[in-house]
Amino acid sequence: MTANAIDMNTLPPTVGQMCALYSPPAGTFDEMLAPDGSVRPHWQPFLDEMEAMGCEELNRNYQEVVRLLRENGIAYNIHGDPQGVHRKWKLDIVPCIFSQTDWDTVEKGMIQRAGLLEMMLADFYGPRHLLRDGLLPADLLYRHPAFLRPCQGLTGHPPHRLFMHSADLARGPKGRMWVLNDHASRPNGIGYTLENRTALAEVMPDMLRRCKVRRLSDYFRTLRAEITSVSPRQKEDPRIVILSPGPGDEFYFEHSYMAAYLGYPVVQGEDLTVRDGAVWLKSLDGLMRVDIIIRNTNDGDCDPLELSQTSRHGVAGLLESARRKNTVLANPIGSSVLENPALMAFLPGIAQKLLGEDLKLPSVPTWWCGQQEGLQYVLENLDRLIIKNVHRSPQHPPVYGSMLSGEEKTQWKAQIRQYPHNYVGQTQLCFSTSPSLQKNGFLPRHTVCRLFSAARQEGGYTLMPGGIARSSADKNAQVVSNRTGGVLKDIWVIADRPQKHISLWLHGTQSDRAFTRNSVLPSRMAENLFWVGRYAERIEALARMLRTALHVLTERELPEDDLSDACLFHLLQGISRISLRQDFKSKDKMRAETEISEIIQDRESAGGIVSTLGFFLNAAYAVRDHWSADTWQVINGIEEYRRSIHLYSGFVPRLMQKHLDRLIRSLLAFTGLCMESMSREYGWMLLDTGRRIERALMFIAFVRSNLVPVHHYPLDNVMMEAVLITSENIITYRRRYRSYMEMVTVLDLLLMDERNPRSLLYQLDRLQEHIADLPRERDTYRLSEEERLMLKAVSRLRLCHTPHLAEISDRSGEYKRLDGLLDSIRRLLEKTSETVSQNYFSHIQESRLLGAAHAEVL
Amino acid sequence: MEYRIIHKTRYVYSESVSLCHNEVRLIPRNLPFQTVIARRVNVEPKPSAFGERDDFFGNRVCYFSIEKPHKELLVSVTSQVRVTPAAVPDPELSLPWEDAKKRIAEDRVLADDCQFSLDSPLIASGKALQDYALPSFSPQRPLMAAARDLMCRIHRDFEFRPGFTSVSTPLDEVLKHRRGVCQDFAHVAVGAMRSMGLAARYVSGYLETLPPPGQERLQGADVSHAWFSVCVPDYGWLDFDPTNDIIPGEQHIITAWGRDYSDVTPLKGVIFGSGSHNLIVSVDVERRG
Repeated sequence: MTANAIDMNTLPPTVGQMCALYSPPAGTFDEMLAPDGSVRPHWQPFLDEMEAMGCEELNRNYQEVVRLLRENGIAYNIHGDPQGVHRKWKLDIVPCIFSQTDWDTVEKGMIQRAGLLEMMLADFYGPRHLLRDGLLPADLLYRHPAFLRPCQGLTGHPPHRLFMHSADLARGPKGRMWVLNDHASRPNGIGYTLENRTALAEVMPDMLRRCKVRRLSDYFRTLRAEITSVSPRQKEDPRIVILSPGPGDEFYFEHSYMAAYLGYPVVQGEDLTVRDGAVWLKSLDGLMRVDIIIRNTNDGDCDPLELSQTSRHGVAGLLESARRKNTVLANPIGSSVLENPALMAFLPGIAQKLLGEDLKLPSVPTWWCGQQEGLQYVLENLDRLIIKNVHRSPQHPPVYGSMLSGEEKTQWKAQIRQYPHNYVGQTQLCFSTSPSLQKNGFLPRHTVCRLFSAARQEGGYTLMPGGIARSSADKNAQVVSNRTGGVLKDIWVIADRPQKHISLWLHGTQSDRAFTRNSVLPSRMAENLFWVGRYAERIEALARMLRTALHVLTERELPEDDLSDACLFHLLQGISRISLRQDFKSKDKMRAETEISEIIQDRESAGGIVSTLGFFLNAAYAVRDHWSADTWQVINGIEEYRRSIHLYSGFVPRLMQKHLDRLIRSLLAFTGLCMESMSREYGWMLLDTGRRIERALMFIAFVRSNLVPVHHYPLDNVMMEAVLITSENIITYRRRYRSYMEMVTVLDLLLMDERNPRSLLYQLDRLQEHIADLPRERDTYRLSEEERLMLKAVSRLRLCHTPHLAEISDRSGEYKRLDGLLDSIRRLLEKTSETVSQNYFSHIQESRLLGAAHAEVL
Repeated sequence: MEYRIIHKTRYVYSESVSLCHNEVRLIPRNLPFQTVIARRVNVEPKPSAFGERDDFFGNRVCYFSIEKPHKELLVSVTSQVRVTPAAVPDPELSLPWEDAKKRIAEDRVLADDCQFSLDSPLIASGKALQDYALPSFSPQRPLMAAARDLMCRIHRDFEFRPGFTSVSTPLDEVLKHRRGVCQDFAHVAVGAMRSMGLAARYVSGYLETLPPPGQERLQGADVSHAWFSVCVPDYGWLDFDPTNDIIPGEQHIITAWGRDYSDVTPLKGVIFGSGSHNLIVSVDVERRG
């Protein structure tokens, strides 16, 4: 983890002084300063605002933005990052600013380019005139792994339009904008753009208004209108989902952020199924027809029937459903063929042929080694070029000729000669610099912009008046990448006139409202919510037990306190069993201390706090679009706790108690937020079902290990007290029964009090209610399996007589009847959990491939 | 010559399958010298969705899905095909293979054929294939003569040995051990042609088999077959059958072609359910006068 915030307390007091150190490298275009050192006019309002804001407020605003983003939990999963997935990146409070005039040129070029790429896409998967007309070498297309033959006829024309196009652009030394990359498959970056702007607009609304920064919401409205308008089935009420590879994906954050913003569910391949040539979502209510899929999975991974058979993210039959026009994919499968950088070498000719126009926005000069002239040029000019594989992937990062040693150069030349068609050479541009806020003021950093276009209903494209810019990590670095530690910036387009305030919220149509009222819960989401409930409760219960044990340990009055020792060892035996460790049999105090700290800190311990926290966070992360901002902050706090848990070493009981207190408070905050800020839809019901099952099970396990053995006075009182404390019942008990500790009254409160949210009966009652409310066909009077199980459990508990349970029936030294009752309820609960899983989550089935083997030979 | 072909594929599953999606490429192509008079595709249990289309290479594909639990799947395709013999040009009169190579790489008219000169999912051309091909490609040899020679050599050098290879056996292994089945020989030939910079494709279909003299024809004892085809600029595509060392004529019926087997898999599918499966295939090619 890199520190997210830069210490800004060292900033000089005035903007003038902040600019003092700002000197762009020679020969570079600077976005803010003209060559004579004067400030470019479109930057002036921003600098004036900064001046007015003053250093102190600037620092405050900066910290506030950092906090907002952190709490949103912006996660950028880095490929191959062993630390896992949640590295945070930096947002620069200084935007990258464009004047409207400058932007107009860029906009025209981007719109032309998207239109051109769409026509090329239609040609590639259609007649392929471009090959026969000699405008593109045939093997450039046919060799490319992203050219997917099953998509023939399916891609590039309505309804299978190129809905979204984005490109990376940079400005060269002479001030001209060049396109570096095209992105046509997945709309990566849109979510981050939206998130950055939201954060800045929240912290500095006046600044954006006074600088006349153009708003982004129109873009999203256009995108949504276009996607909705192509709905194959019902134009009024199309069902739209966002398809994601899942939480393991580098851009999962964006998928769920966009899902929450646009109001569409985020789903994974296994949530969808193709039936009757159409796509259906497996939801808690059964199968629901899907009309439009906003696709964030790689092209080749979309359909194991016709495309890559090894993908886990695909939906068998998806291409067929698109072919039948039952489903529209945005973007269509096959679009990533446009991302081949070698195409850039041929775009000018293609633009002339298809549009009769010159390219308004040039691509960075590109040579394809598959042609003799290109190969020759690249080999001779390797020093000045970037070598890229025609198939862009994390396995093939670009290679900078200027950074290669002599030996590496020889190796690369050999590699290029052997597989010339796999490589292009591109001129290494000296990107323009823009100011980045560092601890001593503004410093110039090389900057690359990503801009986004969306298809318009009436044809053509619209460009988002903004985007996301990335800056290099230091002054000399030309490599600009989030992976190598760059900084992200918002892109501002300064309008000629003040901008009306338009909320980023989209105004829904009547049908949108109808759709959101019946919000759909994919089965996999339902399952994750159920487990969020179970894990949250399991952690809380474990933490409470450990806290009681620590309490007993620290409150010993004498070094030799037999009573406390006996209590501690009983408690620990139970806790060890519950956290899936070997039976704890020792009577040694040192061993007890080790046991406690291992359960809390040990990452290897499968049922310990750290592991369970991991399961909890994974499940919570997979359903992140269900959490409010406040809830998400609490979850982030829990994550931070998990990360810091191993930091304290040695056995310091008071410190551990303090940490457990903090954890329990966070979990209670989480529970409270779930109770008070989640609508009582199926999602909440399943979360609470998981919670009640787990609370009941943990309760049973704890009571069985501590109260079922018959203890003698005074240990019996100490044990009963420990159970009452742990189960949060001690206050009620004291108020009700004063200080008489008696098994019967303890059991009355713990088991039978239906008004006590910490009693067993209360959990069973809630469970019975939730289970009755789960969706099912109501055409019979018969109870469902899970309803039957719960009725049995509730009746069994309600029918028992506590004095009877508190009788010692034989010489076994145990409350046998109590044990029998608890054990039978445990079994019923476990069966209920299994049945709910089977009936509501098990739509996901293993799939296999059939391919006729060598049964046919001659 | 007219044929009736019945191709039955039966899958038996150990556990019930709840859903399956399948693609079938078993209907013969309509070609200048081959006419499909009638054909019928029968799937049991009855599919929920069924559709036909031409794929990227112009092969006829049936798509179907079965959406209720089943423990057995039967796909039977019956087709009636008329094959007229095409005149085979004199191999010695075709253009030199070097010229063909240049035309395929550079001539825009051949842009679509160019893809058959490139590597494909199951065939990566390399030095081993080129070493094998070279003896057939003496300088300025006419392309058809060179291809015919390659076919003869494969027939001579490779042992027909069912069971030695499977769909997933790499071409290198086949080349090393010099044994396999028609599919492997076709792949070797295609790879050898490509290693010389020429365009060749994989063809799947049927071959009429005649019983040994004095014996009766057995029903369902035939099998599907595979061979290769070579792009001859200005002429078109010419087929070669290395398994039997003949240039296909009236006895070969073409169902599909592609870059290699993976483009023309006769029946493939994704099934949902656990357990294992058994596959039984029977083919019957009967002459109808």
